[in-house]
Amino acid sequence: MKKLIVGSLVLLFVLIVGAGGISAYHLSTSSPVTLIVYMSSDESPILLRWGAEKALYAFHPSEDDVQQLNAEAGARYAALYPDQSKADKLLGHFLENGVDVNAIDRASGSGVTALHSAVLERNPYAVRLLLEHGADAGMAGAQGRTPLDFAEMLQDQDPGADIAEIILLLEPAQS
Amino acid sequence: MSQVSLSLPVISDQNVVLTDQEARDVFVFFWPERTQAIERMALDIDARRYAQALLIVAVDASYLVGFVDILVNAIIRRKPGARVQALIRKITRKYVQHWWKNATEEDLLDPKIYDTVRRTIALKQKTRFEMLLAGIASLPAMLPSFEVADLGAGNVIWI
Repeated sequence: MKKLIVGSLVLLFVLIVGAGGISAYHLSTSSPVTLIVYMSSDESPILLRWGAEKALYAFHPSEDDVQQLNAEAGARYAALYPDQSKADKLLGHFLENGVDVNAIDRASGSGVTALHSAVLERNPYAVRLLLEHGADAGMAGAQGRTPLDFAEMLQDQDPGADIAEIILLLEPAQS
Repeated sequence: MSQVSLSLPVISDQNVVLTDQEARDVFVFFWPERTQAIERMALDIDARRYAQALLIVAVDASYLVGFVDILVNAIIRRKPGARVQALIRKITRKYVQHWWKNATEEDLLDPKIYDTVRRTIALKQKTRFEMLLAGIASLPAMLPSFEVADLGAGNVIWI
């Protein structure tokens, strides 16, 4: 009986260590976007959110990640991160490691920068954050429109305090 | 790093099976926080094509995820609602081989979409979708490709 209990405990230990190892490897090799998805979901297990955040700062962005993030204006993933207290740190981490704050998204077909994305999502906090980190407010996207052009269009379509605040941020920055 | 293309499929006009309301249901599935705007948005065949392509690629990519993602999704236990399940079945009934790079015909008898895949697509495509909502740009019939990398580790990377 004692042998059975000891054997079961050893087996359980091996299973836990094995599962932990596989999970750690998975997180270390996951893309930044995958990790951000894990981190930002309230439904993710706490341990997974914690592990994803640790992995993001420890292993990413690699050179390949930077290339990929720049192809899709990846600064937007950081600036628009739902938890504002983490967005600033995440954006700083991305930019310190080579992500271009003014990269244009050529991957998903939007043809715009992270700043355009922040405007489209009506997020004044992300707009301010991107401007503080050197985003170019005068940069036009593939449609030939600046973030301020987008903001003014949105204000015409559906006026609101959020978009008015964004316009106030962008007007001096563009001029 | 292996790279496997997971293109949003090209869907000819006659193969666009979603109605306006069904396309709205798909958009709400991906972006539930934008439900009100989605209910007001104007839809044309390109928007319906886009919705259908998003759903196809979500099902297809769900057959690419690895062990850890399957485990995570088993813990989350969040599955598409009955309306979206019905739409998935409607799309999978119209079996067009080039739509499916990873899911087999057998898989499509009981199709699934993992929530982590849905959230990844929603995050990657959010700007494109907001532009559609705002009427800033029309959608081309040929949509840009997604790609998936790190298949060994089961990591979905959408480009």
